Amino acid sequence: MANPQQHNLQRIQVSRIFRDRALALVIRASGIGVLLLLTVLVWQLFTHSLPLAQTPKAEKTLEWQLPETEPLWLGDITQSPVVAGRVVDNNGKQRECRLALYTLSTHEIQARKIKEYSDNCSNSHYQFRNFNGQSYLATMKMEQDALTFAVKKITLDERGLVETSIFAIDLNSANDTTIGDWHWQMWQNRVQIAMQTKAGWQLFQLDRDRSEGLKKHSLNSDQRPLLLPRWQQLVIFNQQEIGFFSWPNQSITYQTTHAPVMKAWTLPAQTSFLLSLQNGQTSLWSGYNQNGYINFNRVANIDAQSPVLDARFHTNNNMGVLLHAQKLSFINLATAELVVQQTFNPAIRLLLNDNRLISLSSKQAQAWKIGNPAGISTWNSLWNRVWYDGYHGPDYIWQSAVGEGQVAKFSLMPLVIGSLKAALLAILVAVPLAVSAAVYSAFFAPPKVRTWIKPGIETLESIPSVLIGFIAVLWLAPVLDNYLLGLFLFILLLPLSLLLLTLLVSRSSRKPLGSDRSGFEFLAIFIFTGIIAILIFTLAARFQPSVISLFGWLNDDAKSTLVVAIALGIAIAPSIFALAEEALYAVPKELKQASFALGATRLQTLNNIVLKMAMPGILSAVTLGFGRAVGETMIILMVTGNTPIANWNFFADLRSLSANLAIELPKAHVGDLHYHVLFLSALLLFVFTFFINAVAEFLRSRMRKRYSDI
Amino acid sequence: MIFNRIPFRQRRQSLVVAFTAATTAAILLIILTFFSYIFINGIGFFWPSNINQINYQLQDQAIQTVYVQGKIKQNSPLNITGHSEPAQNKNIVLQPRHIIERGQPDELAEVLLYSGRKRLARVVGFEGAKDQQLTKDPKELLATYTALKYTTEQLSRRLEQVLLQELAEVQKALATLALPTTAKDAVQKLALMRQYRQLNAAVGETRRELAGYQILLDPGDRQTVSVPINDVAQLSFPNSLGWSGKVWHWMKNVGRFIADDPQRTNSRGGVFPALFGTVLMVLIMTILVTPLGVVAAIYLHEYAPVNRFTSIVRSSVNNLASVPSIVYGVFGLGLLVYHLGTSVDELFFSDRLPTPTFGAPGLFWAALTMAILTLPVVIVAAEEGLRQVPDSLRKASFALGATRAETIWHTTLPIASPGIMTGVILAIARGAGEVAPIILVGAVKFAPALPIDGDFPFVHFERQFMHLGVLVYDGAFHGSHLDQNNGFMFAVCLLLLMLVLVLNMLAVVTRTKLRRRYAL
Repeated sequence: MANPQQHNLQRIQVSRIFRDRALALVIRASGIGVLLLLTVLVWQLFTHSLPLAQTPKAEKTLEWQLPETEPLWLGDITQSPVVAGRVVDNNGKQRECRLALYTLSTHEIQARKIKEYSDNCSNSHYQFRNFNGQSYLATMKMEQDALTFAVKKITLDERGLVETSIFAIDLNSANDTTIGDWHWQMWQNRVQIAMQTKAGWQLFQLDRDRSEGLKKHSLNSDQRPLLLPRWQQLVIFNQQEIGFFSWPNQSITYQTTHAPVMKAWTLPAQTSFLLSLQNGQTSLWSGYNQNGYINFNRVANIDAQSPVLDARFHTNNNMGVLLHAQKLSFINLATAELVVQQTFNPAIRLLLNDNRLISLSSKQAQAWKIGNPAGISTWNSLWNRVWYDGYHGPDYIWQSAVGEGQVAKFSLMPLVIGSLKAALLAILVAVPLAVSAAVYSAFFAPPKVRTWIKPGIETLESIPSVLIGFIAVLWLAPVLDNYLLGLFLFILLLPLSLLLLTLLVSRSSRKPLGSDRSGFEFLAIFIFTGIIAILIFTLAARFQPSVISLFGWLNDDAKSTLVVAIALGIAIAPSIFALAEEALYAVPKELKQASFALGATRLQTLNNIVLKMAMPGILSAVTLGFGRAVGETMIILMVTGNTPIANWNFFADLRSLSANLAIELPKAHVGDLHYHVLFLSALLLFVFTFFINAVAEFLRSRMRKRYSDI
Repeated sequence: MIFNRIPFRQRRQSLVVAFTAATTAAILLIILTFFSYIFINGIGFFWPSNINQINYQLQDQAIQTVYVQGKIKQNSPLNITGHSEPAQNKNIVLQPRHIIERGQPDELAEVLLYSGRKRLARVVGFEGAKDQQLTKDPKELLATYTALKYTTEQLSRRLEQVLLQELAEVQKALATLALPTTAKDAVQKLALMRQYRQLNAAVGETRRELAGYQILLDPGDRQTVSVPINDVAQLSFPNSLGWSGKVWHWMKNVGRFIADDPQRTNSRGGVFPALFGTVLMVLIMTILVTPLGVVAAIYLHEYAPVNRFTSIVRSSVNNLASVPSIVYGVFGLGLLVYHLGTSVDELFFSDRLPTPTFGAPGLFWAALTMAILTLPVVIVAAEEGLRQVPDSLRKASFALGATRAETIWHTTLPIASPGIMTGVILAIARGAGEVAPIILVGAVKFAPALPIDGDFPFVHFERQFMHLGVLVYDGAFHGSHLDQNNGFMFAVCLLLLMLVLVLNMLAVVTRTKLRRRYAL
């Protein structure tokens, strides 16, 4: 029979072993879990950047049946897709036509009629147009011998279609009243109308708020127009010739194309247009204003290998969708590159709104969802110079918040350059200060002084950078003007005054500086430096007004550069100091003592032994400091003007990757191109600092190996 | 020959030593200037400085008076800028020759308004007081003011009671009876309407009564301005205060700064929500990060197999500690807020959609983001602590029959505790001062609703919160060098600086204490 005590013991043993196993399990599981959590970070940055490298793809989501109509227009009215189609009634000989509007609702598969107008059978009196997110309806009618052009704003609400009249004008082109095709375009208050008559196209331009000022122009019968009211331009197509007519200058210039133009589309900003040529080529033309003259140039050829039937643009997302007979092309509007093509159902019209695409054929309308819209970005759009719309040449531009119709510009170069510029400036200030202080603290300073210096400087490391930024903005930046001279003089005169001091010391004492072990020496130099600083700064502030012209070349951007350099330099100096000091201090004693024993002075030992040994460590400290400066956000955000400029000029403003994230990420819409580009920039920051750290780590391990080899 | 060279060599060494020492001194001087600048400006903000009365005469104009607070340098031009008085809102530069007379009369008052504005003026009298005061004695003026202030406070409390409770109840009842269906309802509605009219009349009456209490101020040479006493936050006569009075006043100001709610402009009032938000966020972060970090460190050091993979993981964790903080903010917004938060909303708060609950930046996500940011710091420090436990101790513990769990719990962890605590406190200090990630994931410049209040469930993890660092960041954009509001920002800076420094010092003290306790 077992002893109850023994039994008890056994039970305790079992529970102990159980607890041991349980703890091991818990720790293994949660430890691995925590480490996985950190990998999730990398994974997430990566997966959010990945869509940029993929391509967009349209997938069908819905289908509507259209009644027996001849579709004329497809567009959005108050965010819901609407089809305008012609309904023909054949009662007897008389053909009667009506124009009907159908909404395509996501709840129904049948298009629902909401409005009907009586209409002409050959060419409609009605023309719809979406402009700047608004829908407009234009009518062109003969009424009592006057040709009236009227525009209404249309919206949809629960009551149905609401029309608000905007303006009407009597075109009175008169004698020739048989109108063929017509269309119109507008930009803010300016409206252009093109109207086909027997003699050829008649063109009008007017300001909708003013009754007078109707301008006219007529074309030959073989010429066709494209309207660009924004710049008061007309593009005229005639076989292989394109003419650019400027209304204010009444001048026309010609260029040629490879093949006759089939069709043309104006981009929403009305500063560029897309041409589809008969040979299947497509080209993008863009204009810029040069001394009042608009120069149009072909900026890109898009080799879609098939004529374009319809084209739609989502400029803020850089996306253009071209419809061909059997396929769909996605083009990047910034670089005008063909990104990807996919097969597509036959259709005649497209409608693009955000990531929703609607295609229209004669009997059906289909809704498509554009998967992975961020895939529209290309390597060129992110990293190369791009000739953006309205610019005089290719350039690196970051401009995410653009006006309606403008192309968002996502070149990462300005940000990368900004980050590197700021970091280099900071290094320029921090390295001399930090390394020199580290040499003093680790090599010259007596132990007693070192115990004060080291924690003293390292407290700076724990100061939130937002405070350094705050002081830099509110104090340093405004007073910099008064102390600029002082700063330059201080940098110049301090070494000189130190030279004088050492001469005096060597006169009076036989021992060089650095032999003192009591800390008095450092105190003296500390006070000396302080006095020199106060003297120079107060004196210079007094003389400043008389020499202000000396610094006339320093504009505000240059001053803010100086402030960035100082603030960021001071922020990263303590970490460089800490690591460099550690490296210098850890140089094996035996080496130093051997050097002294051979008769070397402290300076010689420093130069020949300590610095050489610790060099990898110091380099590692500088590398890490550089990494910190690249990642630093608050100081750069607060001190600089945050203008993204791709310019290595150190006296120009900058915006860094990190500051850009802080400014723009809260505003970016999830899933947009902008959002993913921002994630890519975060990934870049991550990879860069990770790489920098790895380099620093490698250098440190080399240093350690060197020390242990002794 | 050689004797000639030695002094030269010595001189060169002296120069190098002097130069390196001077740069060290320069860094220390910069730090000193930095601290003292924040300290002096931050502390000085609360100090009730004397008010100067300056009579001046510009060319061919009548003698004018201006009140200026603070020390005035003799014989140097005086900038009169940015006074909150509408009529004085001009920039004049007074040369010494313009100034005819200056003085510091006792009866000059500093009047702080609830709107955040400050007026410097002579108190002429009060409306609504029993006897019209003609005294100039600050003590009597203050006594009258206090009595009137008490009355107006009673009145405004009553007003609030009526407006927020009684009137609101009647309105609610009226809203439910908007379309009376029965005769009884109609009667009830009529009664309610009558009650509503009565209450409204009472409100008007109280408002009129409140408006009857005014303080009459003379802000310079112009007519008397009357300010409703109900708008006055504080009336003081700094010139009449003695040293002890000023210290007392200063302490009151500091207390108010820490405990009060902010004013609209974020340039006056208190910073309690920001301080509270910072501390609460850091607290939640600490609760999250400590167990995670320690467990990961124990795993890495005690359980993980000793191989190449583990060492790669270790150095990766080390590298993560110096990844820019904004990257963690991006991670927090992208994964935690947008992905995780949206999923949480769909699961638990679907009734509130599309208004996001956890799918928007908030306190919990900020704390979690900061926890992930500081996780590498804690892991590295804790592992460093574990590494310092000699292997012999572990072996001795095993030899005594202890299991691994017991060894860790009773031997390894206590000895490693200084390292662990240092890591945790360093993480806290970093968490308190880091601003870049939390402006992405939940901190805002103005959110007077505290994350903890009396409404169920009492702690609102999803709420946005205020943070001292964000306040400073925001202040830098809206302040300007000459603005007198800067004093407030400097006070915020000082508070944040003290918070971080105290936490850092705590790290040092804890480390030494624990080290002494578990000294080997």
